[in-house]
Amino acid sequence: MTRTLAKALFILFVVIPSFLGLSYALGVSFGLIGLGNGAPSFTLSHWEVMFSEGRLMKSIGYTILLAASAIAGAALIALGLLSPLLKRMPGNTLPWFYFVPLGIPPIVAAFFTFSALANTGLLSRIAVKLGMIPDASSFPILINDELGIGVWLTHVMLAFPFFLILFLSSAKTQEVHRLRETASSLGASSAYILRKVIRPIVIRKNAPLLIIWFIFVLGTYEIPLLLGGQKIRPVALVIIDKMRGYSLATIPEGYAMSAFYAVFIMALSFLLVKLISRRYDA
Amino acid sequence: MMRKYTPWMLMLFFLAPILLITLLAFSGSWVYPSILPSFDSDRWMEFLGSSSLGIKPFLISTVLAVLVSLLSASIGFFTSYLLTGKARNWLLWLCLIPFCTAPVILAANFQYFFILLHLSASTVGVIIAQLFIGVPYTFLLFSTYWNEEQLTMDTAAKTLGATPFTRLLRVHFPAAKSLFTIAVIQLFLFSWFEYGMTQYIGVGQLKTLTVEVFKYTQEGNTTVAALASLLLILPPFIAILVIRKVRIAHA
Repeated sequence: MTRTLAKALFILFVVIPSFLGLSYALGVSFGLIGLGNGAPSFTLSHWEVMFSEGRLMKSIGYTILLAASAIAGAALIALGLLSPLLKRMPGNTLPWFYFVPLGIPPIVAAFFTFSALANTGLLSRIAVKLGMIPDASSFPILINDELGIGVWLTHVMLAFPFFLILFLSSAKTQEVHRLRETASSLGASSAYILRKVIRPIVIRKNAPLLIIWFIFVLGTYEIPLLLGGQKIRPVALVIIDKMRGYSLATIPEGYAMSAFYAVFIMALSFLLVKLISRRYDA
Repeated sequence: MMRKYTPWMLMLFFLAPILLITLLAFSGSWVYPSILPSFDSDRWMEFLGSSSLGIKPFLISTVLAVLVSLLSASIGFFTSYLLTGKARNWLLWLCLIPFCTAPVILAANFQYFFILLHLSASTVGVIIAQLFIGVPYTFLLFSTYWNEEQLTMDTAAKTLGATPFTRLLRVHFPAAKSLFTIAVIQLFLFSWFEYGMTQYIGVGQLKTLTVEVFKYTQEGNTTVAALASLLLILPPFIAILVIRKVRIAHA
């Protein structure tokens, strides 16, 4: 009885939302579900448009690049800070301010980037006061720029404190400082120690969490909505734009793209489960 | 030399958002190129006093986050009992899908059914939509709980004649209490921080703090956006100050 109820709730809250949503998206994208007054008829045209229209494919490529580079940037900064911080950390506790960034939502982080890096933001004002630039217009464009530098910086800012805590925790638990001492007394160079001792412990061990964070950035929405440019936009924005468009013709393209994204996420999640369960069994 | 100051620079970097937002929240105007904004306390009173701004979105966000966190933690814990079975990896995979999909896209895909069921643009609709992420999340969190030890305990209680429901309530819930608390806190933050899904399903009708922050930032209304942001980050910030120090390793 309890198991049946648990199964029913699982299906209701977990299985139905993703699969019903995906089926609907697939149905609309293949023309099997008609929109407005349109009669349903099977078509591949929306998928063809999606793959042939450069904008959509560009957006997918850009999103993957954005996520990968943001995670790599954040992980590199955290890794670089690891040694100096470990040396100054006698116990196993971290002071409160390390956790402050974890309490900042993406939307507030985006607002902060906006207030700090916009043409009339804090950095631009400081630069003017210091005489580095004459006025606001000379400040480099970092917000709503075409490359999405502001978006990238905000994601790095959000991810790096989390990675730092994660890496510090792994390094402390595995007593990295002792391993480092042993390796160095055996004659290993610091580059070798970083590659053969620190990297396996802090990066490989935390790989599932890094992948989850990568997937989160793939779905980024509010940050590029506020800070991104108009030319290249991340997947979530393009999908929502197409779906909310006034033209009935572009809506199925939005659904095709969303189905494509959903299947991609499913495959990535599958990889993640494999990775986690291997760790769990070990 | 640089290394000595690393922790201090980090502290400054980590606190910078809160410092700037607090400064802006108490300011009347921020004329270029002055670095510090001018102070104006009336603005703050105006914001808190007005019913459409300030306190109302704060209350909506609070109620929403409390309901979503308690409901998803309870349902997630109850359903995670299924992990005692054989289909472990499949169940984990099914839960990772909604957890990994961008909330706004998840919402866009099932919005049609929400419209059919008259759940669109309603508070109940937004709560249900957030449960679609909260429940799988709790399920995933509890995947580490159902280990060999708990399964043995379960069998022992079963042999002594406890029904599955009694086992869950009297054996597993007390043992899982700390994990349950973690789930509630994280889900509270998830709901408290959520924007895309709330905006899509709520169709702008449900004005939570995140929806307001977005609106004011886009309008270029920096000081009001800062006020709403401050209300948004204050509860987690106070919680961190209360906890003070966190143990991160077990040596």
